[in-house]
Amino acid sequence: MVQHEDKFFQKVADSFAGFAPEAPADVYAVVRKRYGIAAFLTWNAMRLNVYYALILCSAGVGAFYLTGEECAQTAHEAHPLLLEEAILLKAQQSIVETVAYEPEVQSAEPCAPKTAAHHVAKAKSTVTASAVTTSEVETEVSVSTETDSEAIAAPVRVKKDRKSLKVNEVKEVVAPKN
Amino acid sequence: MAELAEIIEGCKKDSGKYQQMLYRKYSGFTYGICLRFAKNDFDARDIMQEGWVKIFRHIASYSQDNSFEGWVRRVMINTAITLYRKNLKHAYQEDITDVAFSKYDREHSEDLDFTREEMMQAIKELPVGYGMVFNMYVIDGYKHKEIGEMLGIDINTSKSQLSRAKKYVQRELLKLSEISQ
Repeated sequence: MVQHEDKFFQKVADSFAGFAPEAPADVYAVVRKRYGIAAFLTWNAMRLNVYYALILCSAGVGAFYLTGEECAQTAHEAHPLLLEEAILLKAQQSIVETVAYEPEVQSAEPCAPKTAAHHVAKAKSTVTASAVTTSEVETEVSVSTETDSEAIAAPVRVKKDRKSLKVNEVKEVVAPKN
Repeated sequence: MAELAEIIEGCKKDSGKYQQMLYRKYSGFTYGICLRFAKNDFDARDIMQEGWVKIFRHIASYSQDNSFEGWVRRVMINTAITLYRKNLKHAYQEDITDVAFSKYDREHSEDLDFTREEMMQAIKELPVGYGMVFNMYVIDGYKHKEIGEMLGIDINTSKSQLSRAKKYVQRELLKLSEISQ
């Protein structure tokens, strides 16, 4: 109880002694809500805050997916021509590789004996140069391929077959004339 | 009903059950303080809500040596002061000029009879700053030095505001009694 020397003040203090009106019913609900928010926003090291962990995880996953998609999209939007050019270049390279099959075979030369390789090269040049007209060449070619088959291992055999096929085709074309 | 010490310990452990028990025990007392310090019911609810959140959050800092009622009262008054300061920028600050008292008024002001509701009405008529000083000194029992520290004003300002507030309240009560007669 508050004590005053002043008579009026004492009267006022007495009138408010034990003053406890009934609080509105909805106040406590708001208090709980506000307290919940305040507790959530306050980091407490004493307890594991699952909400924070969940938020961090979901934010991390979201950011990962968003940035991944964004990067791809941005790259495509920023350099569509470059991308197309890259695709075209790759396609051209693959075409070139398919067409330039023979140089690949030539790379196998070190594996084969020098003589055989020499024959193959010779045969090739002979065929391309004069297969259309001379029968001499044909015989030479056939001989050379035989030598080839004896000397060169499996990978070169493929080459031989091709060559021989070419030669045969040439023979067929040339033969009726003779 | 559990003992106060048990309730406080439960609240310190963040138990919702004990928090509700504490609220039920002190809601009336705190709402009374809020009504005295607030200008209207809306502000009183705001102080009440904010004050109780503070009580639940900082109950761990309460030590058993002091009166719990006194601690709760202090939290509520501090909340009211905080809200008063927050609204200070937006509110128009009134001042009380010297209240002219007639000889009759001076004679009868000390022996005035009034009810609590009339007194409450008279306090609410006071400018907020004056009302705070009046409430804190007359009803809550704070000294001028404490009031000065809590409100951030000079001791003499607190004294002069109390003196003016007293005269203002008495005049308001006289008016009310004249109306009722």
